[in-house]
Amino acid sequence: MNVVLVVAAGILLVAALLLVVRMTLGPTILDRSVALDVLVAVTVCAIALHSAHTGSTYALPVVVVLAGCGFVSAVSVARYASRSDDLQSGTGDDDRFTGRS
Amino acid sequence: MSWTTPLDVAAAVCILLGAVLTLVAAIGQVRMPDLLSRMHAATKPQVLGTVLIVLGLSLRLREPGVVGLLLLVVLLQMATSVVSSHMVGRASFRAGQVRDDLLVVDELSDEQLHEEPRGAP
Amino acid sequence: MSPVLRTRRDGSTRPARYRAVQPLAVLWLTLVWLAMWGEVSPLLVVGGVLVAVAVCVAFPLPPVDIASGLRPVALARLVARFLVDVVRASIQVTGVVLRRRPVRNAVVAVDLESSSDFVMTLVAAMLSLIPGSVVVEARRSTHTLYLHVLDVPDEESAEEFRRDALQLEQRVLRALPPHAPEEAGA
Repeated sequence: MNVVLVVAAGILLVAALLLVVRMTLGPTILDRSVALDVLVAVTVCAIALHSAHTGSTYALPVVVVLAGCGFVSAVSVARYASRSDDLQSGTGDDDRFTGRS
Repeated sequence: MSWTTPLDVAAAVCILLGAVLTLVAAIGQVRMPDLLSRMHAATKPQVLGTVLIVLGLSLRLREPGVVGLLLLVVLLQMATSVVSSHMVGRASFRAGQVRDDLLVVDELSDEQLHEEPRGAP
Repeated sequence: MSPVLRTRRDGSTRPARYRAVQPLAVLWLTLVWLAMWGEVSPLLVVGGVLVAVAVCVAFPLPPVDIASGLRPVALARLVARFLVDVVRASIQVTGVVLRRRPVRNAVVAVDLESSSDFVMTLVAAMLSLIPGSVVVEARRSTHTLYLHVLDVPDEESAEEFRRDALQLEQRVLRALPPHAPEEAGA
């Protein structure tokens, strides 16, 4: 069991690193917020692994709260990103329609 | 910490599969070409990965109180990932950050030229 | 969406607040409360009901117009199909992520048959988790969902996906038959 847990933790670590890469590269703030969303899910998985390792349940409320509140950041960023980007969407729209034809 | 019971083996399989699916979600974040494709990677394998890891955990702990809590985690994860993916996808589409060269059919942009006022974001 | 306005005596308007304590919400909140405690005892149940009623009074929500009844068999079929679809979705996305070929997508409009907001919300949420689709935009006035569909090589597949989405709606309607048409969507 310990081997399995260590392997799973390693996989989660790689996943977290990849997400940090995307958060660094991400061309827009929306990309970053999505990556952050997935990173929260990775954290949830990591806490679950810790709980499985120690066999204790004290960390489980943290898992519930993270699963419930992790999306708030993505939603609030999306709420304001859409507004600010709409103001300057003149150029973006032009790109779209000329790029398509 | 032994492999004796089948439940432990099932838990190990679930945890490994869940970790791999989470990794797939992360790889998708890096490899997918545009934001809307990334939303797919962020929604589906990630939810199933979390569900599997949580399932493995409850198979490992085997306490009734814990199972209720973890069921709550699964429900919350499904409900919230849907909301966040929709909000982000909509914001991205409205901001015009969609790459049209990847789209075969685009019935929304065709329609938004004669657009009714949109609802609050 | 558009709140019901109530006019006060001095002529100013404010959104009407929904005072009703909904039994379903109280039940659900109590269950969450018990799950958080991790055990069931009479004191916890009473406390949970009190907290749930307090939450419902403090944060009133418009009543959810669910359905005229549940059909257990159809609901079980819906849930089972949904779980299978969630697994299929992950496998599909995994395949798309790991292969070398670039992916082609589509944005498809799906006009839902039902005019109930509840059905529309449920269908949209389920569509986000099953293979292929993420809801990009939802239009309440015409009950149209705009879905971003992953891995669509040609227009024929887009049509196929539209049929799948409508079939999902039919399954939802069979499981949770809505009220009579004159009430729905009012």
